[in-house]
Amino acid sequence: MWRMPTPTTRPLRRVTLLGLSIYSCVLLAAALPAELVGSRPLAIVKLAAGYALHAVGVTPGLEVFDGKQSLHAIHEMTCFRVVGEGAGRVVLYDDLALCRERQVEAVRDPFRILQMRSLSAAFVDLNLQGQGDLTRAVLQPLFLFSDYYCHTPAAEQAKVERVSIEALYLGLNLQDGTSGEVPMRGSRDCKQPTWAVGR
Amino acid sequence: MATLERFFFEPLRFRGLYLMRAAFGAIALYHYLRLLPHVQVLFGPAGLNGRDTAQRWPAFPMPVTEDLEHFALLRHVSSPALITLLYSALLLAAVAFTLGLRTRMAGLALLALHLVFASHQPGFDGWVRLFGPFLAYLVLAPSGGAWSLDAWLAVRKHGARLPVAFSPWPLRLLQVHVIAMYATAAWPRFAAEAWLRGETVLYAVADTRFGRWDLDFYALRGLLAIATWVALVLEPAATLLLPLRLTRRWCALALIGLHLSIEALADTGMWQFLMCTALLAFLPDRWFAWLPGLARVAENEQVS
Repeated sequence: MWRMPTPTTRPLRRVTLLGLSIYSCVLLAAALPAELVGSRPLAIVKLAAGYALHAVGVTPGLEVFDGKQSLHAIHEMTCFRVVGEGAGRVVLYDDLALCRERQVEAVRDPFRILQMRSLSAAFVDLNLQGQGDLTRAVLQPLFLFSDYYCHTPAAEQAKVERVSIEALYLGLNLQDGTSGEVPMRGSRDCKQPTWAVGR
Repeated sequence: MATLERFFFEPLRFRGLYLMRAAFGAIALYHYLRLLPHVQVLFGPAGLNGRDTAQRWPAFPMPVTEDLEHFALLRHVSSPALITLLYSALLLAAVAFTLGLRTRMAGLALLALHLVFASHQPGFDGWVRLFGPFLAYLVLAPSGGAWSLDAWLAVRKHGARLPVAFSPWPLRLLQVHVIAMYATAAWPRFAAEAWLRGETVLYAVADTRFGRWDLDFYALRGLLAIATWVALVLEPAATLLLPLRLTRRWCALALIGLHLSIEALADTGMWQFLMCTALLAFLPDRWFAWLPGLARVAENEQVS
């Protein structure tokens, strides 16, 4: 049975109730569709609630597949070959065959997927822009992956000084349903924080 | 005030809680076991986004998972052995939480270690950010009260069952958070071009960063447009239908069906399993009576 709070527990119950109510309201406020309604006061409430939750490490929710723009072409698959060059030449990673044979795996290796998700956007951005600052969010993975490959045990053993990444990008043209390939490449001197496109 | 008080504190018998606990533990266990071959690459000092890179390039802004900045501690760990030890502890905590052994302590350890590990690799799916708060609610609830080694040991040692009716405020917070999740994800879609044009599911399933199958999805785009519009309607509707007693169970079932369909078509980490498990909180208690060991668990307990 539901026990009514006793005089000694009532203040504690009240404080807890207040805390729970505030937390619930903040969660819901952070999820307000302010942009959709176009209301500035609502947007301010949403922003404030978002900051409050961020401060305690709580995510109210996420936009999964935001689909903000309609696209003419979409990414299908990207594969990579990573080669280290120095005293010797060593292949540090290679899954290009998967793209050439269009092998799609229903259950995938998490590292391969992380690399594909992180590097495909970086390569596309570089392909369009020609160059870029590796501290930009979209290019940060390129810096991190290249630095990692520069210092793997295999790279250290081969005294690797430069890492080059060859990417094979497969895309689907949504105008006519055809698939196309875009090969891209670039390299990084392991001692420099910059990326050389096409080398 | 009285309504709010009843909503948060009126004791409730909800056998789904124990299934949710076991499922959350299993989700963590499966996710982190998949990473076993790559533990040092993903979390070690010499790994990707690791401590060694941070030390070589002190000016580089090392990325951290959004909202989990406070927990980015692995960057200070220089010993690969310590990473392995922490990872092993996380797996042990996940096993213990799944089985309901020292449930609350195991849940707290799992929560702390998950936040630390999840903060380190921002490239993983966003589900890791929601798993923390959802798990916290289960830790705060008496989720080891039945269907657990704790309950079995209590009967063995003291001959008494643990009480299964509980003050449901952690479950209520989980329900509110699930509704907030759908509101955040779903309402902005009414201003998103690809959603309105019925293209988003095509983008997701044809892109093998997510899609599991190599099919001619372009030929199926009509069907996929219908799937897009179903999700476009169902998920925002959930923010209105889940709070209502009359509609919540059917809405939750429809959403579980939607999430399982997405799981069959696309690999989005543990997103779909996480949401399916959280949605169990909206189903009636008696729907869990068929689970072995739960049918008689509370037959003598009075619940108002």
